[in-house]
Amino acid sequence: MEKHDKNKKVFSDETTEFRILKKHKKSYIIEDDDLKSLQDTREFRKIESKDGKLISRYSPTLEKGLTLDQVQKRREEGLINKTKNKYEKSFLQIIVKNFFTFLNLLLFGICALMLISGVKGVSNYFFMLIISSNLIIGIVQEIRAKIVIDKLSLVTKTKVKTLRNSIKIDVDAEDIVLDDIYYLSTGQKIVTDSIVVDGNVEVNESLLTGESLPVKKNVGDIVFAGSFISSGTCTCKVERVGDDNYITQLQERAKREKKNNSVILKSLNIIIGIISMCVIPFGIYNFISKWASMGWTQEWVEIQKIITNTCGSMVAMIPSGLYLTVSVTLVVSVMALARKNTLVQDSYAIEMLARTDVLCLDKTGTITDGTMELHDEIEINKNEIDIVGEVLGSFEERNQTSEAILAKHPYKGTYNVISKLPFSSSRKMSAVKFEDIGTYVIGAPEFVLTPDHPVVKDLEKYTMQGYRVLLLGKVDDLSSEGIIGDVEPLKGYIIKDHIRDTAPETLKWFKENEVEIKIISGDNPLTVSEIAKQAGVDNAENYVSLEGMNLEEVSEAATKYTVFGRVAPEQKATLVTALKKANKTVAMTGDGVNDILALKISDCSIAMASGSEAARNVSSIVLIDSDFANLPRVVAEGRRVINNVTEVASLFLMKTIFAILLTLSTKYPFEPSNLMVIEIFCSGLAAFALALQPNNRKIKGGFLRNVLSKAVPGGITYALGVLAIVLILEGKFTHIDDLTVYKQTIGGLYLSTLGILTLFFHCLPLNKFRTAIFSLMTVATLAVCFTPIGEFFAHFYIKQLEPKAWLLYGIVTICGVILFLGSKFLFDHFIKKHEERKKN
Amino acid sequence: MKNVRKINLVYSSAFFGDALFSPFIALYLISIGFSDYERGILLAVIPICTIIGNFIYGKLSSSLKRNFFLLKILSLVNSLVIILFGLTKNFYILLLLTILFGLHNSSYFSIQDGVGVTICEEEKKIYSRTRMFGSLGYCIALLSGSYLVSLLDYRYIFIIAGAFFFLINVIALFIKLPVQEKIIEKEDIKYKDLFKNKTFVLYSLFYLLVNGIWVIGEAYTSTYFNYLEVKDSTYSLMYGIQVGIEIVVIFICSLLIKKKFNTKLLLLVSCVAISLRYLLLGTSLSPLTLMIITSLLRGIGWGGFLSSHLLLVKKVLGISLTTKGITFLAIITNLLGSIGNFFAPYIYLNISFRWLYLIFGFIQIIGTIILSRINFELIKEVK
Repeated sequence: MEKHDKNKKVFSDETTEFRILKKHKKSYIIEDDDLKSLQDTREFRKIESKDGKLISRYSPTLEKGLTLDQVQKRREEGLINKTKNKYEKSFLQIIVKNFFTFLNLLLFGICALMLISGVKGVSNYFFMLIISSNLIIGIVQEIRAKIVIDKLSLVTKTKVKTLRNSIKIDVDAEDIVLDDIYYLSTGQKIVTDSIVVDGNVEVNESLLTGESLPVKKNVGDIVFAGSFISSGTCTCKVERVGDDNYITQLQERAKREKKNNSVILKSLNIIIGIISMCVIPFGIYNFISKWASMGWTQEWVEIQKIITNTCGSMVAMIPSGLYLTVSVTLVVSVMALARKNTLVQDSYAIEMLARTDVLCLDKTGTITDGTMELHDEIEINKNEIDIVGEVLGSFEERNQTSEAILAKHPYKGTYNVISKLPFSSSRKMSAVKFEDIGTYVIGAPEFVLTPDHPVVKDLEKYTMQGYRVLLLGKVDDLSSEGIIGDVEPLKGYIIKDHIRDTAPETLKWFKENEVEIKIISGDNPLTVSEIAKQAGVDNAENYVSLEGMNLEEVSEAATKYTVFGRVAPEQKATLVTALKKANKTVAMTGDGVNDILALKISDCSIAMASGSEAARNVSSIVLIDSDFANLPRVVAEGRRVINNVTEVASLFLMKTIFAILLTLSTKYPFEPSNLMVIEIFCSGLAAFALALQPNNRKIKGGFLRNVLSKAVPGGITYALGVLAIVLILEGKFTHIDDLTVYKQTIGGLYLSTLGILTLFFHCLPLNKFRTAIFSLMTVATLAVCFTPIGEFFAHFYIKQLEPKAWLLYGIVTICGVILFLGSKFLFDHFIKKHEERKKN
Repeated sequence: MKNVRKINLVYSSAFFGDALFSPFIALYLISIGFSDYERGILLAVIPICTIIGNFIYGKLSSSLKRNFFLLKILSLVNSLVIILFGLTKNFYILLLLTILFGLHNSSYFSIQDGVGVTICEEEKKIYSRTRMFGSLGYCIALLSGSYLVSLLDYRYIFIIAGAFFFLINVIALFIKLPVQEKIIEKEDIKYKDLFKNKTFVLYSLFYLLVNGIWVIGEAYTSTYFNYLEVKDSTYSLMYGIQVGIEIVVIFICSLLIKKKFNTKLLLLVSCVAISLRYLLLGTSLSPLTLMIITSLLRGIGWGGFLSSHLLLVKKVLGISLTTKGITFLAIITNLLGSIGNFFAPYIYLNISFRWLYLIFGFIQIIGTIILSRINFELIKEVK
């Protein structure tokens, strides 16, 4: 095997040789020295067909391309430009993922146990309605997001002109094979990593590197999938396909990054985690202790009662309604945002954006819209005619800079063009020779004149301020090599990036809401800083270039500076990580592949729909109209969700705490149906209604602490009251054990009363909406408890209650209310003290 | 002192504590006058809770730091449960303590194995040497247990057992985990990560067929020898000898492993010994001969198994997934154990003990064949 000469000028068909190392029995590693010396992006490449055989490389000519047989062979080898859809789940996967959660399996298991045991009464299975709703909402939401993303992906499907068997044909990007010869021209997206074999082009690699200035690519240079041709045409040979492409590998790396969870989700997971640990052992405990207390009865009817009771306690321990409330609240927000051109792919991202301390923005696509505008014109020779539109308009190829000048100086075609010199990266200028009026040149001032020319020095101050400057001059003549004679400077054109109209207002909103803005860009930091300043970013003059910095230095810079320029993809991710380490909640906006690592690491990732598909796929929020002015709306939705969910979550957790405590005491008296009233009216429906009201208050305190501080006193009061009722009715304290059969009714009534009281405190401060909710729920509770509906659904046998049972209910309820108010006061007091101490 | 030495002490303490508690639960329940029904229910709760506990703690396990934290928590809970167990006669409290013991005890040993393997890997020590200290602790507890029972009340024995679990927490104070773990560990490891590894799936099948069956079979050996009219004292003596042989075998194995002896071959030999033991139990040899030979085979088989099994799990899964893998294997073993314990009495009551052990032996042979088909050489060890 021949070792390739690294010094040899790359690319020609004859030099494409690879050192092949036999590693294992089946696979081979191919080291590609040419590519290594070109880009230094990878040390080794593995090229292996599906059946593990060695892949030989073809050397197609520029006249013929690959033969159809070779194309077919490549297809058989699996070397087509198709990537596995790693970010997309199938419908079945979505359903399976949503169905097979621990909570679902547990509740479905309980339901199955109840069915097998022959537990009767539809109301005993009410919890299945909640869990099914939860499941359906989860599935529908994810399928909806998938459909939208799929639609966006379809828009970006491209075709490529490819040479095969001497015929140029249009081929789908996915059907390109390794070693194919294909053509690229201005504006076209590059679909696979390839080597330029003919022609030269300027490539916009901003989506990969963040650098918005085009990069010149000559024969032998590699062009990367995901970038665009800015100018020129070329012929390329495919070097990597599918998952081997740099862009795909970057996406794959992003996939491996840890997914961030929202605070609510984390808290819910902690709650569910603890309950999961408790629920089955407590169920076992409840069953055995009840069975033991019944003298190990062998009567099936009795055992059936124990099973129903055990299932009831287990269901009561699981706050399934809480999940449903959070899901519904988030779905409502997602739908509201969708109507306003914001696609939320991960609904918990709404919450994370609302908690954000630092918002990282890119200059292009967020503050600016990617277009340019003519800011000023510096007259040098006032006697000259307005010719700039004619000069720029005489070229077919246009870029954002020429478009900006042409917008104010339109091309009229007044003068005949004799010859022209197109713009090139090396010359940094273009020139046109007109009939009668002479030859004009336009380009970078230091190239049109000499760097030490006074005019150039004079224009330099604009460059320092972040503007792009072009100089128009007049020369004697031009040749194919360049301009002839001295240049007479005529006019300077000061061009700036166009700042979105909505940007200053949006940035002001974030400032007012104490969200720090960081600008992370691949561009020149000075330019970015100037634009940020114009858009109203605080401390925008505090900028730094990350070029050449190691990751440690980048981490240190993260909190010190506001504007970061010349940022590489890995550095973006490091910046986000460093900010997170500084205890900041970081939101990141991006549109390019170079952003995806940082997007994945951030707490909330926001992509522009106009950006790359990869960025859209990994982001939690996609701005359909690519306008970041939508973000304040998302934050407002997030605040509503967090504040309201925190308020109502305690309603559900009280039931969990009370069920655990009662189970431990071995005195849990209820069937699932007995808790229907409290579940539907005092927590379920009331919580849904309360969770949907507007609430734009700033978020304070941790979710878990806020929720538990409200739920614990309630839960304990509920449990103690029911325990007292059960013990009294079992004759532990007095001789009224003849009422034992009514313990479920009296206990249920007690819980309903306390539930209404709890709801009242959750409705404070009362407004029209909350008063209506409270009144409605109270009336509904009373109606269900004291009518035959209650007897049918909740199995409350009110009519049969004797006066002493009512007396017992009254005494325990009064004690419960006093205990509830007392414990609530104490908890509130301690929390207040704790917060004051924390503040001090 | 190196961490490995402290882990050796942890192993000895844990096995000593366990050996002073687990075998005496049933005897204690009899001593406080619990009926057969109550005892049966309480003892039946343990395997069910073991499965749940292993599932929960397996889910919680991830990095060495997290596993070490779990180890401390679990040993503390075990210590409290064991001490409280001897201090109450209330059925409901004992039920609660039994559930807690079931949830935490087996999980403790799974997590301990994970931590032990990782620390041995970190300090380039042979794991089987550490495991040997566990068996040593177990053996000492077995020998001293019967003596202690004649001398002390159960509550004191349980206090001693609990104290040994508490001692683990004290030893743990002196274990300083590496600040930056040399081993790359995944942040969020899930059970499904295990099933992506086909070799592990195959290994689990082997484990289930050999060790799962072993767990069921061992539950009935004392009953079988009782049925064969072997005296309890003789059986106890032989059991002690078995553990003694086990320690010697583990020691020999550790020397072999140090000399790069093929771990798979070691496990294969152990499995053959284990299978042979059950096949022999299915024959009509004289009870004493049977007892001597099978005890010998048990010591060899189990000693080899303990020495090599975790090393292969580590090789198959990589160190980051080892603890999760161990807890998973514990879950499936206990699951099979529960099912097996339900069906085994039907077999030996309706057919015979011999057939039961012959069936078990053949199943283990199948497991051994599966093991022989796994090519561990192709697995590149994850570092």
